[in-house]
Amino acid sequence: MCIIRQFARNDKKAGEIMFSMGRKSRSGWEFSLFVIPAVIGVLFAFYIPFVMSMAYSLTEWNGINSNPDFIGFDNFRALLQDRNFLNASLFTLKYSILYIILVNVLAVLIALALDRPLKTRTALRAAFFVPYILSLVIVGFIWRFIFMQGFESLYEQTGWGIFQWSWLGENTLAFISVLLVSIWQSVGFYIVIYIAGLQSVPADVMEAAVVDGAGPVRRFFSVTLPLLAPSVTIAVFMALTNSIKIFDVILSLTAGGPGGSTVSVSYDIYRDTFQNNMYGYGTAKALVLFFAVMIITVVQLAYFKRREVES
Amino acid sequence: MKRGKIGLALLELFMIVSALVFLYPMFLVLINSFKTFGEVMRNVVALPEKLTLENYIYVWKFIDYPQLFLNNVIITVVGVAGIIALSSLAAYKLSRTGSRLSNILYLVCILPMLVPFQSIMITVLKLAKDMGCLTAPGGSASFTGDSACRWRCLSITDSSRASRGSWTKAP
Repeated sequence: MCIIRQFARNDKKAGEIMFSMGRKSRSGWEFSLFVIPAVIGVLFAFYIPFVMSMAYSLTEWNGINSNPDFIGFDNFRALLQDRNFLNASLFTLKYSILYIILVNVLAVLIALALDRPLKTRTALRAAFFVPYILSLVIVGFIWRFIFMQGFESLYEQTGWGIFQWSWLGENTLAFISVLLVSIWQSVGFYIVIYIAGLQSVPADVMEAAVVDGAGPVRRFFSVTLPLLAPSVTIAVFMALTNSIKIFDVILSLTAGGPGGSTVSVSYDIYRDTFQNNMYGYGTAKALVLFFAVMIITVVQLAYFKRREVES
Repeated sequence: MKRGKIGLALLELFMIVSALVFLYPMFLVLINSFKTFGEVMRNVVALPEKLTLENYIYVWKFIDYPQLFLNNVIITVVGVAGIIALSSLAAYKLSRTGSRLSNILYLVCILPMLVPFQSIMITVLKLAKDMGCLTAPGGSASFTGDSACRWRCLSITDSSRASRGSWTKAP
């Protein structure tokens, strides 16, 4: 491994020297030809709308009026006293923490099981991945149907009290439902990441651990998990960005109810912007969300990357 | 060794049962799509008494399913083609060039990944409207493609860096 890396580094250095000798103008042309299309794409899909967002967040605008009124930082001041926004932030925070932990633990456990030489391994992997193919809005509708009509029938058949609970009508239960449904939909994706990571755990290291007399639990925590660190970084990053953005499931499953207890930040933005027609205020909220997400993800990536190097 | 085999068989059984429970909601939806409305209301869990395709026929006509599906296909094809074309070009060159400009442009391309779509969706919508993209399906496809482009850009650069072995962990 080390030798290959060293070799590649030399190779790269040689490339840089060549790059600086004489061929500079041609390489520059080539470079821009390859890169500029993508940069233009990103510019239109992100940077221009982002700057526009900054401008609109300083205005009061209903989305129809062609001249938004400039009101300075009033939107941000109003935001500080907005109880809806506060509640939505708390919900999103609580949801994100639980989602990240549960989905990753579950995915690692299932991936470990599916990494063993089971006969039906391929079919099982496919089975856990199926819900991920569906769109989240559809998943929300499916579960809404199951929580309401499906559980009613199941209660009649089995008589188990768990099916009689009002899964979408009570604050705590509705929260659990949203969590459950999002995990159900996306766990397959994380399983795939972890299975790929497990396959790169070298067999000789594992054998050495067995020879040294390490039990399965010890083997997992001392060998598998450290070698799985890059997968954990990527999976936690994905879980983090996805859970902070949670929107579709809430839209179709609970619509923010009961009593606004499952309103997430992005659902709150959607409501204010497209239902209450407060575009300026909506973009201000969206910007706050953007900065919060950016800070949290940068901290997370930096922290996990450092842990990776240590191990 | 025999104990290991029994353990494996038990694990397999356990995983199969979990997978069946895991997929049960999808199975329920599937069987209910073949029932009449009254039958669904009476009992969701039971198998359909006789298969009816009424629901499918209704949906096919009522929401103009072929047209909607065509829209989806256009968006997907144009989007994916755009992503592959733009991002593989850029990722190839970015990972093969060690200059500072290349690193900065790489950051420019992957930074949007951190941003929740909801925080720019309002202005993306407005920009697309102003540019007259919303009326043609191709237009919205190009916008979908653009936002997904940032994803591909990262993953391809990562993998090509890794395959060269020059993947440096956190400088």
